[in-house]
Amino acid sequence: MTDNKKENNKILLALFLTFLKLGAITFGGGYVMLTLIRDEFVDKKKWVTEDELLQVYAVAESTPGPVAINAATYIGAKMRGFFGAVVATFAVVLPAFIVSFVIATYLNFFMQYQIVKNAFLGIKAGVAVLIFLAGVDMLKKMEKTAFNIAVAVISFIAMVVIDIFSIDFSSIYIILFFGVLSLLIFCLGKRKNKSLKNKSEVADKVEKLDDRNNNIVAEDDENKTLNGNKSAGEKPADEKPADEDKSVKNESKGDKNKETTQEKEGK
Amino acid sequence: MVFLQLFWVFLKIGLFSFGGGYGMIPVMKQEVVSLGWLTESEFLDIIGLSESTPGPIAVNLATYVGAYMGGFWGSILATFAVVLPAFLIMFFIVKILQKFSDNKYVSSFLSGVKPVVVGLILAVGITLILKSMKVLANNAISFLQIDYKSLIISAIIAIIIVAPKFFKKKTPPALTILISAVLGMVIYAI
Repeated sequence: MTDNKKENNKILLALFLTFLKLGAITFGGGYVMLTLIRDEFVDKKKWVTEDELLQVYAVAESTPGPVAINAATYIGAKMRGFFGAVVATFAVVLPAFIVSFVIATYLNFFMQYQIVKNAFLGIKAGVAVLIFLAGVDMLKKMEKTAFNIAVAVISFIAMVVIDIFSIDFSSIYIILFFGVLSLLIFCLGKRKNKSLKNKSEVADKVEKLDDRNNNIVAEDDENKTLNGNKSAGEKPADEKPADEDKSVKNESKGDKNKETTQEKEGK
Repeated sequence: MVFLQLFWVFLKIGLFSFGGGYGMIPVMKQEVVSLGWLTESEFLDIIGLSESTPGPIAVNLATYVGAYMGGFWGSILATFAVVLPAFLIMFFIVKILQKFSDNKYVSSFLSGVKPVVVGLILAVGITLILKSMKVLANNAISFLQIDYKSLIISAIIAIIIVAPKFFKKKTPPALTILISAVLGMVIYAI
């Protein structure tokens, strides 16, 4: 085996073992794992920087799925590409899988005992409270905008109604609906801002053109064209953004500088 | 075909679980219970166990339900499905990590999702509490048949969770579940 291959295999093995360990010791709570990952991968192995870890954290908040998976996939991929990601993710999932599979196999056996049934009656009550209080916690941390409060209330009522009347309507639709709604509101807000921005930029451009014309003494065709088009550009105070763009663009046909500024605006 | 269903359902769960561990619960509960794979009661049992065993709740649930419905291969398939969305998304955005979390479109979508999850979790929590106390049953609310034992346990657990917060501490979920189990064994034996 070449040295390179040996090195690769060492890293893969380290990935596997470390994530196996992490997967085995984190119980129920996802973000605890990030602290452990910091200890292992930032402090000990130095495979990941503190900054990168914060990024993983931020991305984990924005992507679906357990943070354990997110972290394993990222670090595995960083160290050894696709195969590394697979190995790390497999390792982090394995302890959970084994334990859950064993429970699945034997739970029914234990459930025949009254004392076990009673224990689970207690657990049911406890879990319900845990879930509710987790919701209260999230509510406290939620930014209290009008939109948020309205959406939370609507989702709450919808879910309660769905549950009480056993309606077959997936909460996924509610999630998608308000996610897309929020996205649309953002896009519309952006459009509005852009048109305002364009108007002031056109005004700026017109001013600059005025200055240029005053400075240029030599009479060539370009200048004459600019003067001619300038009056076209001064019109569009109340035209739509798209039209404003076009008229400003027409002005710049003979002027390379203006073209580059236009390109920057387009982005 | 149950394997196809297992794959599809847990793929959905893996894809729509926003908001950390508890964020997944409303979606998981609906999917799994509406198909009749678990009763609501069994669902709670599994969540409780998941809090006390290693690994993310989604993985535990997938393995358990998969095993229940489709044996060993069912559990493999379900677990694979639940992990897949996170893996794919995470793997492909590794290259453009910064842009993804900074992306204004993504964050505006997510800011719409966050309050939804809050509402959903509170709703699921309340209905589960009411059901465990038998206040809510058979599509009706009634205080006549209230299960006092469950009420007592719920109250004690609530205190156990809330009280440490005043001291800036947190009760580990696994401990909470253990205490719930013990309380159950004691109170229901009476």
